[in-house]
Amino acid sequence: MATNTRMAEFSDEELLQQFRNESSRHYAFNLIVKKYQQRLYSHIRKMVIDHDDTNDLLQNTFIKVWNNLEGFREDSQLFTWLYRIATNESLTFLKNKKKRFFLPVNDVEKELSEKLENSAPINADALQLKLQQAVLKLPEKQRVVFNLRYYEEMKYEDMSEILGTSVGALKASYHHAVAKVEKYITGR
Amino acid sequence: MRKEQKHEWLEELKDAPNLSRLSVQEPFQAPEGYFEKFSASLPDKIKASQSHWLNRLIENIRRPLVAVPLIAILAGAIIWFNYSMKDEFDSSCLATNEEVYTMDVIDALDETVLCEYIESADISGEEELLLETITEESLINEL
Repeated sequence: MATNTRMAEFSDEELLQQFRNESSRHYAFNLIVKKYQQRLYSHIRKMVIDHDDTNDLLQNTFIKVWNNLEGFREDSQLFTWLYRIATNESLTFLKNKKKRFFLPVNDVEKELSEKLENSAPINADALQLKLQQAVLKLPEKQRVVFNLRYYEEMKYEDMSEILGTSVGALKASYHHAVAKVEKYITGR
Repeated sequence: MRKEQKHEWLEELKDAPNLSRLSVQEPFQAPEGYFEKFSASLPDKIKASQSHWLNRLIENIRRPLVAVPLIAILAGAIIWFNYSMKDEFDSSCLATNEEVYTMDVIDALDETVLCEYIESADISGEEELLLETITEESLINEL
């Protein structure tokens, strides 16, 4: 609890400043991990569904953050940079999964869908499960757009920093994603 | 500002009545105590990732994109090595007739007889100078 209070006091800029100081580097990194681990876990989990895969990808994300944070030049915000690493890790993981087993897109989707049914929380109702299944049917990048906008209510400008896509293209992508999801859950 | 953003967010769902009627729920939960364990174990994981370069190399070798060219390079190196060793073996093992004859003469040479002959021989000044400067190797070469 005390850590959470201290953590809330520091902005990303302050955390970066502390990280650049050799004596407080480990402490600052620990605070960054604690500040963002839940959000990044949730973001990755929605992409790869399985908890163990999420754990591996979250670890890889923070290992990359540790290795590269010193060179982070604040051209973007810290949190969008973290999301970008996590997103790239997730997309690369899904791409490798297809390559490794020479699986067609539908088989990966089927596998994720099965995992979804096994890992859905007990209190999840049928409609929520159907929503998740609908989201799984979206192309991967569109899925990222949908998750960031629908679940996290992220601004398009921030999403643009994460995905390197224009705001206009992201709005169009989200619009299409919403239409597809609505169509699926309505059963049309 | 926040209110405007929320309004924009809702506006985007206006053509999706079923979706907008659903409450936004986080679909997945991490196991209990996961985040405490995760942040505590991360420093060790970072350390391990930095020190085990050999493991990372082995892990990469298993990837087809790395393994196939690596096997091709290794196979090429083995073939080239065998080929060049064969050339070297051929050229070093085949002696000319002249070399064979010289080797026979050297083998038949008796050192004691040679020394006695040199001592008893009537050596001129020029020959004496030659004997002083001649080395064993050049003598063998002369033979």
